[in-house]
Amino acid sequence: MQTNAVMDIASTPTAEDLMQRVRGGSRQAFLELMEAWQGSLYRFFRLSGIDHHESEDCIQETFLRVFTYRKRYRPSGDGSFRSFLFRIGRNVSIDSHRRRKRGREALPLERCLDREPGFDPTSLWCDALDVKDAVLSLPQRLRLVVGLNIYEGLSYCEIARALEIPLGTVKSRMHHAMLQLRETLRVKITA
Amino acid sequence: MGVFATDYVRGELDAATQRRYEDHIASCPRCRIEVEEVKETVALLCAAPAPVASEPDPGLPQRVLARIPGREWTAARPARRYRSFAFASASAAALLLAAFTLLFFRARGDGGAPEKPGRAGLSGSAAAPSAPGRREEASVISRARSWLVSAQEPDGSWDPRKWGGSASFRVALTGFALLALSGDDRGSSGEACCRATGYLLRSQEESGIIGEASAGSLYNHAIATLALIEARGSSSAKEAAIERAVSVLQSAQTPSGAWGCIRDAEADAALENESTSIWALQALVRAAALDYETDARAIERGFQWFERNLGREGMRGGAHTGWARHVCGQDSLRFITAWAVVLRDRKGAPAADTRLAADHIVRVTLSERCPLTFYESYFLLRTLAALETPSLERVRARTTRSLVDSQVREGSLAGSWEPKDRWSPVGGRLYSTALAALALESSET
Repeated sequence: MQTNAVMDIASTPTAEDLMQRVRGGSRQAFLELMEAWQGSLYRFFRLSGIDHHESEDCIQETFLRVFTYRKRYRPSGDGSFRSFLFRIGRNVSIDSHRRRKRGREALPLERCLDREPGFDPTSLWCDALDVKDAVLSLPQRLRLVVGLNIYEGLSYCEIARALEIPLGTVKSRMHHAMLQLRETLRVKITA
Repeated sequence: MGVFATDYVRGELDAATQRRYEDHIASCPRCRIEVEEVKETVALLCAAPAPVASEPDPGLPQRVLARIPGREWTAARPARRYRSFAFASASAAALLLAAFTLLFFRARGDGGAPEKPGRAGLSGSAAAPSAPGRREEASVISRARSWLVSAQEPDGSWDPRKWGGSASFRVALTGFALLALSGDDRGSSGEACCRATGYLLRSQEESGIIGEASAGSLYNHAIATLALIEARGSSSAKEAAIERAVSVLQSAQTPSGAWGCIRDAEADAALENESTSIWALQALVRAAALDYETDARAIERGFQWFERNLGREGMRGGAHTGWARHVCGQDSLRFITAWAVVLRDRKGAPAADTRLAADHIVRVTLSERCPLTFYESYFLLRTLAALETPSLERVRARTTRSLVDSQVREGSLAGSWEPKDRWSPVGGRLYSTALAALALESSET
């Protein structure tokens, strides 16, 4: 069973410390920071409907921007780095969507995810497939909020800052996501 | 499910609300069931593998590090001496003058204050220079404004002939100076702005066009319109003048969405050009933003005209306009298209990925290593400030530094810039100084 590994990372206070060291010019701290957070960013981009290879490009671009903006980063309590990181990630994902929109039609999210390297449907439990399908069937605006809250451990306030939406909108989206997930899973389980 | 159920399960209720809610569900079976359903759903989500099972390449962090120059890791960066731009030599001024005059009408544009972003405050963009850098740029801009104020004529205009420019563009150059001063409406700058505004209002013809009719009058008119819109202060005469000026701009737009010469029997697509078009478009965008009566379709057609220049690949466009002309050594309008697409991007939801196209334009043109004119510096810095592309931060810093270093520091011309790029034979010192100040202001903000 895979628990929320990202929550473990997200709940550690070291990101702020690492950023402080990065601002002081520590290359090693930046390396550690990237190693700790690239998985979260990767999931975020994939849930945004971006394919594997482009997600990796987005991760690089996000970290480059984090480095560029490091002087602007101000630790302001627990979770501020998460908001900072995902806000940048969100902007990078918007750029990515626009690029794909210009170049070609975006791949459906399901196809993007099913094409990911090493994906083996038979290795997953039936329940896991149901849950995965249920999450992926959410509209993107709901999927991202669920992803950040459930899988990345961001609070509502952090999500609001990261996605630059009102707190009330986060609450509303979580509420509707839960309604839809419950319905989807109930249908699947009873089918 | 009740609205509170999810928030309660996720621990997002404040203490008081949580206590009230717990009291409520203790006596409300329906809400209690809702809470249990949310808990079950969250438990399912947490128990199952994450929807995204794969991981990124573990070597990504090293690749990112490899893209960051080693000197960035020093805590305090030493001051660097940037190579000055090799502005086009003035030795061929006579030849350039003839060529330029033609180009000026066909394809010329100047720096103006497009949208208000520059003055909207220090937003802390990626391109924002460090605090000492900002102070230095601010003092350079302040000196430039002082020189412009000292060069103003009693009637409120600036006379190009006194400063190496062409009298044909007195209105446009007055517009540039007004734009450069409008960022600071205090003291002498504020008074100079009032006088300049008065001059432009007096220069408006019965038809609504600002300045005398000539082949380049729409260029003058577009810049003057934008300058009036950006200038502080409001009066019924100014408002009416702007409305008429905007109306002229809209009626002068060509069917394809561009601007060039005043529409008449001889006007055709060949006379469309990016330079006049960008100023006209900016004026309309700003007018619309400030609730002057504008035709949204005209603005959209203007953007589409620039976007068509991008071409299918986002770079190479038609035979006559846009990117295709942005070839090293041919003319100096390389960044106008980039700014146009960024400007559209800022207005939200572009049909194409204009922002990325602009980013690409900037990268490719910079790789050509062409000398930069003051004009180009302005559009480049505006574009970079809007793009916030970290990898181009050095370009921004270098361009800014080049401008800062090349300002005249002593003598009666202190605060101005030597007019020695390809457009200087027409624009003179008024052009070089106003555009340099506007460029730095873009970068500063």
